[in-house]
Amino acid sequence: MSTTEIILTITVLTGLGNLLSRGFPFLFSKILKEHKNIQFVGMYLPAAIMSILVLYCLKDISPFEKPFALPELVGIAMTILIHFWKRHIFLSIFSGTLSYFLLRNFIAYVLGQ
Amino acid sequence: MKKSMIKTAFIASQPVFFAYLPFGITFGFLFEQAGFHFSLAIFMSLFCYGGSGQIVALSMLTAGESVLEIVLTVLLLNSRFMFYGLSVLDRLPKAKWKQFLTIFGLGDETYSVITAIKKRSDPEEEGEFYFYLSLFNYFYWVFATYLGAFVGHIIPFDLTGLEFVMTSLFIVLTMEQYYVTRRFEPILIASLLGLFFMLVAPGQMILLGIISSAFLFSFYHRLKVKEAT
Repeated sequence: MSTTEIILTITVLTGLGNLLSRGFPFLFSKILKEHKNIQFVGMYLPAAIMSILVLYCLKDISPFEKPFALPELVGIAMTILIHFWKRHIFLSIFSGTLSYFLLRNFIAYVLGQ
Repeated sequence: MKKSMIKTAFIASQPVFFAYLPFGITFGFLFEQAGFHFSLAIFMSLFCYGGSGQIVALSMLTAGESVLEIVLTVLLLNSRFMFYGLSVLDRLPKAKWKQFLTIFGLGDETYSVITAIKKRSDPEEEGEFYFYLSLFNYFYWVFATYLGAFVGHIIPFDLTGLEFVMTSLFIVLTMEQYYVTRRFEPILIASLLGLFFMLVAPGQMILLGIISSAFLFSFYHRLKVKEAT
């Protein structure tokens, strides 16, 4: 398979998968709408999902070897602090990513990588 | 009526535009840097419309993972979309084609905006609002990808570390959910469950974490209802 074919295959399959995932609740909308229980879960589940996704993004980093997850910690702290302060999505993401990026590359440079 | 929904949706989509900008640019940029043709990046954004999934797929692709592994990982990562529809169930636009596009566009950002704003009293109006919101967001995503690929074409050097934009995004979205629900318990519980599964079954931590959280919340709600009666 050529690279183009690979990318096309991945795109089509994941695209269809996304559509099915997103459309899933609508197939069972009748049942889902009736239950208060499900509505309660639906109200707090987004918060749970986002939290888990944060952890997912961080699952491969190791705090036990260089650089001891320092860039990540700084990036996370920066994102949280800026967002608390200004509550601006772009600014928070930008500052957090920038601080991570700078620290990560700086440390790599210092370590001679 | 319809005119005002477009404008309202446009205004509501502004934060999404700014959130997608670094995200999409990163994707388009990394895609270009990896040596693939930029038209494929745009095609991917058009057909998949799954931000983080696209970035994950890209990094796996450059790491040399098999197509099967990549597709499974992305589908697992995006399985959270199954729960997003819950918040939109009875508020779809009337026209079938609009419904289709609204459902197709139900990603993190659109979902985040929808769950963060106060619901309108007229479900039909709400449906139109969701449709135009999704449309704007979709356009921003594809546009950001194009921008990133274009920039990637010009800038020759390596930009490791940009992927952190995904982590940042989810942190911000989590915080936004706190502002909306005003409860930290869901975040705490989900984090503990997430940590647990991260150690025990990292490959499936997303799905297992979400399902177990859903069960616990459901159980808690049942207890509360019992208490009240």
